[in-house]
Amino acid sequence: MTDQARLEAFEAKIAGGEKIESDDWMPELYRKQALRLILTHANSELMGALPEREWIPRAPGMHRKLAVLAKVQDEIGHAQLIYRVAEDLARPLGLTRDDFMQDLISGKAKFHNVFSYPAPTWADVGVIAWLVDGAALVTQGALLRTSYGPYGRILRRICAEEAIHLKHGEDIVLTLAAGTADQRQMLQDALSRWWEPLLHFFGPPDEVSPNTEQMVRWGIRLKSNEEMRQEFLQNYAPKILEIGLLPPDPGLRKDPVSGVWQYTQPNWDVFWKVVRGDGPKTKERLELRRMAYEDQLWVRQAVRGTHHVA
Amino acid sequence: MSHEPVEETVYEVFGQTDRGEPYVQLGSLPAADPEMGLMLARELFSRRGEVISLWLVERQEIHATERLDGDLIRGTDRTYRMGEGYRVTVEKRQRLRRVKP
Ligand SMILES: [Fe+2]
Ligand SMILES: [Fe+2]
Repeated sequence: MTDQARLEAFEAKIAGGEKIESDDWMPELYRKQALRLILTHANSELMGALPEREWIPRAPGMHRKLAVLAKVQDEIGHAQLIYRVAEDLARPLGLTRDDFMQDLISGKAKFHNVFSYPAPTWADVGVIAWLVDGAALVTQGALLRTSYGPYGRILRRICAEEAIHLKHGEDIVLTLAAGTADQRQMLQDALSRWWEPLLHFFGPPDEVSPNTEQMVRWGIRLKSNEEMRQEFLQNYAPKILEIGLLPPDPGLRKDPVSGVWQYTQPNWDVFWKVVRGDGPKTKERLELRRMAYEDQLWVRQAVRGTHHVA
Repeated sequence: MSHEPVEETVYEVFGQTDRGEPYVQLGSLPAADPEMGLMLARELFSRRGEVISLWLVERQEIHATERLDGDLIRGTDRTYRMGEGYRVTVEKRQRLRRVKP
């Protein structure tokens, strides 16, 4: 078969809603685009565990402590599952998990902007678990139908667990919302802190790069940044307002005719700064990741059987 | 302390949610040996007790057919193997009832 014929057969498969498996022929660009998307997700799961991990010893009460501990474990588990999918995809490119880790630690690979921010209060833990996981569930839910089969399969398990995280977060938020004036203020402050990173989470609204278009055409991803941000606002803005919290945006309202949520554009320069590795906590957390990676070499050698030249 | 880099073993993981249910593929993982692999599998796939039993199979030990094109298989007429190929029996019964004296 010629390359052109193979490409046509590949695209016809995707157009017909069939999934691509790791051992199928695929265009090199598809492999690279899918790998980049999947690695950004895996890196985000791994880095996302760090802000909450800080709260395991400080969570109020045994039940909350166990819940945060379980969530952190889940996120690390998600990272493990996704890196495994990435390994199969990256194999023909000669890349291994060690390369993924080196790229993450050196700042070459990306992870979601929200994991570069501090979580200074217990209310931040609630807002992260409810709204950051909620935002993640919007993007991951959209990816359930991705054309790359192994990723879609593993996402079913991950999304089910994210839905639990979200409930756990909403429970923390509602408890604080029904608490003392100080607790309510702490909650409002946390929401105000997270609002801009949350709007940033889905990326700029006007992404019309040929790269993105190709990814949508190949079904690697299925929704645009703005579609997902709208879905997020539609799901969560009413729930936030209902409990008397105020997103720090006087322009936030739903257009009664179009149903579209109007909001003030966040500062996108800040977004790009964070994405380029200059967020408030980016360096500190990558340093923590590097230390963990180096200190735990012996664990990887024991569990995975990898023997690096040390 | 220096080691030769070695290829790690990838295991496919299968789990059974309940007695009487089939084992379903859950994912895969790299491990030094089956013992480590099972420990990791429990951590990755059954943190909430989702499965009552796990199987680990070395990926390279799996014998597989080629993956056929779905349309190609389903394009072939196999109605004689399917229940819906025999719906006509109901009509035959009705016709028989009508001609019965
Ligand atoms: Fe996760
Ligand atoms: Fe989560």
